[in-house]
Amino acid sequence: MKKGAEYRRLPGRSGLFVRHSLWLRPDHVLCVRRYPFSEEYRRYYFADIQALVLTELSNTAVYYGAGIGAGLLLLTAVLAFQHPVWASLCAFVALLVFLASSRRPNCACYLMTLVGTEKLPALRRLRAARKSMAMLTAEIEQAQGALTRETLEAQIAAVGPLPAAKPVLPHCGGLAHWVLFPLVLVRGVLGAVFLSASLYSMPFSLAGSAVSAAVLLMALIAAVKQHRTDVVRGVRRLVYVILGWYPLSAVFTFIVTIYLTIQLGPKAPNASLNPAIIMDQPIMKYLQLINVVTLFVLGCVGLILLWRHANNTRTPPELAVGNKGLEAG
Amino acid sequence: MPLDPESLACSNCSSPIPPEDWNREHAFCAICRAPFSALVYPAFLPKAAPATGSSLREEGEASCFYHQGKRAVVPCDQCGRFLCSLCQVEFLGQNWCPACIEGRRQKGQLSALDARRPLYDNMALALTVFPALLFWPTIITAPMGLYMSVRYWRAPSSLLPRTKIRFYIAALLAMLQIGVWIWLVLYLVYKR
Repeated sequence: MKKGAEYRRLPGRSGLFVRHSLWLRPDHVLCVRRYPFSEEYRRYYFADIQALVLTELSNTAVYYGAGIGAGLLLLTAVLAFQHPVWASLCAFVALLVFLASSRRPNCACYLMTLVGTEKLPALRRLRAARKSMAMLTAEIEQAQGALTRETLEAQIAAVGPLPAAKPVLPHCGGLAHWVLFPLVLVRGVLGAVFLSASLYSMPFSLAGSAVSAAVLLMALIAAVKQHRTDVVRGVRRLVYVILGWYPLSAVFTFIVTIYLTIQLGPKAPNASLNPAIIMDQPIMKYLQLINVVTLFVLGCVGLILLWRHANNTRTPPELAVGNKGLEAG
Repeated sequence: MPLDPESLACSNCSSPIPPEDWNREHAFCAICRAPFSALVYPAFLPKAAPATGSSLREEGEASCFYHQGKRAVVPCDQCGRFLCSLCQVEFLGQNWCPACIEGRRQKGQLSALDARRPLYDNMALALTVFPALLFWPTIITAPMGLYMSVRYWRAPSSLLPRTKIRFYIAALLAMLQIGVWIWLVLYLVYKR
């Protein structure tokens, strides 16, 4: 019989060049870190394991990745016929972004023993982590016995009153955010309409400017409202990105416009340059396209994150004790 | 050791998990609102003080090999020495004395204590595959790969289930590359 034949692999693994995995034996779990030319092992005996903590992480990178990837795919479709090389590059980058964002961890698992708390890097996907936790719990309860609720409560009572928990951050429903992100989407739709139909008349420009001003105002309000509240980090950052994007986009468009005016000015008839001529230049079209794609991505990602925030901050229902061992006790 | 309610912390924000949330399938962190599941086991609860081997030997009783004044409670399953409760180490389902564990570990006979293992098969495979992309380095690396395959064929490899397929492929590629070099040298010699 091979020496390693007794080990059973637990669900969950991670890493590309340095791979982490978990393996079971009847009396311990082996945490393996595999380098290209060697392996490192850490053993945790079931009799020594005190606790397992699994925390779901807010995997906002998936939404950012999906948004950026979708934007790049849109760009690929736009460039496909006229610039196939750039389109291929965009598609490749989109694929990389999708892959990179989907590989981000969405949970963290820690194992506690008498001597310390160790992270289990192999468990970074929730589904696999839950399966592994269930298998580990079965083995640990076989080695240590089940912990009854009475025993646990008696121990907790023996500790006496617990120290006050840290103050909970005030809840923010995010009304300003719920207005902001749809406005960003509206601004993106307007930009797309202007771009596709080449509408450069004064009323349309005014409408676009009004929506932009509303977006900026709402972004400022949202930034103030979300300060020191429980609004998730992703939403908070997105608001700052929106606040930063407008000045950046405006400054860049202004510079390009000045450059084009200098370039095209002498060629203009009667020394007067029609703004439509500048707006019809390819570089301006590309700038508008980038702006539209960015606004769509920001709006969509923001709404998704906000929806998740609303779901997560909903008051959890009263739960019955789920541990079988506790139920039995 | 008293029960420490602050020893369990949320993996996301490191804030303590209150005991009310222990052993629930779903709970939410009070600080970061992250859903978590904190499972505690009997080993977490305070225990009686560990054995100190302090029970003194009385007249006519066997003493510990390492502590003459203390009563022996069990013999070592490897060397047969009598051990007190302080020296007794339960390991792999047997009673060991610290000296036996240390001696076996130094000789590399206790795979259950290995903290690191080199993967010679991966090294041999890398030595025969990657240099082949440039071909010229194989004049050195192919014999090295073959040597490594032969030398470490029986060396302890991973603790996990693992076949020798990498060694087979590495040896095959190394021999192929060496064969190509021999043919090339002979070809050049006889061409002249």
